[in-house]
Amino acid sequence: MKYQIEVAGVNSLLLRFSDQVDQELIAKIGVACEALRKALNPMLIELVPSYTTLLLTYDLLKADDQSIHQGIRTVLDGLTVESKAIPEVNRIELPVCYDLELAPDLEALSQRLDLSISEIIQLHSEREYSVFAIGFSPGFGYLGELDERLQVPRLATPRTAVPRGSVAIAELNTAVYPQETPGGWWLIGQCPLLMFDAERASPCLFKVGDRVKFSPISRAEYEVFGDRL
Amino acid sequence: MSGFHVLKPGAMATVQDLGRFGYQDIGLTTGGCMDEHAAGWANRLLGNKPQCALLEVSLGNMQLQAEVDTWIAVTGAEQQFSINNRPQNNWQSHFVKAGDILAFSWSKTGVRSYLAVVGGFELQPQFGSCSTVVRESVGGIEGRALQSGDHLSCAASEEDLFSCNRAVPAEFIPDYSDSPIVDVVLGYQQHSFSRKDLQQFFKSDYQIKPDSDRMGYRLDGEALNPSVQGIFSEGICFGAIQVPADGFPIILLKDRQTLGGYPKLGAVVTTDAFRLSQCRPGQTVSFREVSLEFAQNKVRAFYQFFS
Repeated sequence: MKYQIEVAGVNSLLLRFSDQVDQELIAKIGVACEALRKALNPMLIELVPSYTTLLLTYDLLKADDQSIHQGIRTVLDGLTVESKAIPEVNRIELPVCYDLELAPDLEALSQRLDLSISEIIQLHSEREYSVFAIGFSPGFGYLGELDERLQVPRLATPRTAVPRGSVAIAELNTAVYPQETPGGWWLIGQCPLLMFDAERASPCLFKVGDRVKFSPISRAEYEVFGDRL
Repeated sequence: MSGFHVLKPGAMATVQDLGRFGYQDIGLTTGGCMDEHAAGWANRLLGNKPQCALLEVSLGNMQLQAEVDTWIAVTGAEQQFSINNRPQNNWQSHFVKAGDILAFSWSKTGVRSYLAVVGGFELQPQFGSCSTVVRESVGGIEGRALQSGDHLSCAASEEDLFSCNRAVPAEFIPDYSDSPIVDVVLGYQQHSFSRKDLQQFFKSDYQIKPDSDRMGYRLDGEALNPSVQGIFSEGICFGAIQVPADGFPIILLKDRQTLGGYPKLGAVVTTDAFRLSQCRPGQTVSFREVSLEFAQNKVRAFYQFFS
């Protein structure tokens, strides 16, 4: 497996696997992350996978610069994506209601992109996305990549409060807002599932490397979901 | 109920411990005591484990009533701590009795005071930690800062547990009013900055901006010109020095966002980030480049002492 080890901080290293984002790379980083977690667990404090990198923070009372480099090389050199360490990739389907009342930016987006609303819905929901990274807020997944025809810069003026469950797009990505937070993405629908729930056994619905697909639901179906929550 | 009753919460008081680890991959930040030096001493004075939950009191002005007899310890920001209106020493342990009123004045130098109790405050950990991260509504009491009327549970302890009040030796008590020189290790993205920019960074004085908080300390002074504007978002380590497009560095601390897409020139050495966390808006700081080996020895010595 090809990678570079770079110094991020006193006891943090950034493992860089490529300069280019793609879906195969994110699976590869997932494999590396699991293999490192298994082999080096007692020395590790944190592993944070993202688009092209893996941030590794280690315990200075259990390792030093030399021993951690050695440990990383032992685990990663010779590791292949086909190896047994492949973490299970989950496929998650998220229901989305694209009703205009729940999609405050859909009409403006339709004009901006010169696509009909049904074309936007089709382009957004027909593709399977990879979870490239989780961050910004608990359970916020950066899903990509969007069809080129849907790629649009962030809003010029971010909203101070985006409702929980908002399905949004910006640049190469789509996401569901797990909490009400400020946000600058275009809001094109609502997902009735709780994306992050601290009380659940798995608080987050997906992990980095998982695959996500959106399935359109009607307003009536959305309300039924809402009643169940 | 055994514990403490919050009479006045002050500017912002939160329950903290050493932080929440292993959940950044689902977007949860670490939280934890901003100044592990002062917090570490508070727990150590009571013979507690370093991970015991304590109170982090920002800027003081907090009042509690004891509902239990126990030993407490107060460290950190310089303020007038009192028990039943009688002034008491900071950086020391004290025995309190049920009914006693504990009061912190507004802090004079430094930002964060710590109040520890024998055995730590007893709360249900969330994701393995009691640290409060208000932005995420996680940890502490309902994921928020303390409010008047809150109850903090803890066990009682006997007065004869210790033969006397224990105090931190004077040489370990920092002067929070000075202008600290903060050690930095350069990181992989230093090459996004010109040699001239890096020299300027280490030569200049920076002032702490007013919008600095538990997420990050923002600096005012010489703006830098990173050669790249944005990168793919990647994990951010504690103390990372991130430089956004406006050129003013931000030092990312305990409540930092887990991912970021701005170039970073390196990271503040862990123990220096604790000292930095006691700086107030307007206070001056400067930076010194140190080797990774020097930094690791310094940080290792700290954790050997406090473990």
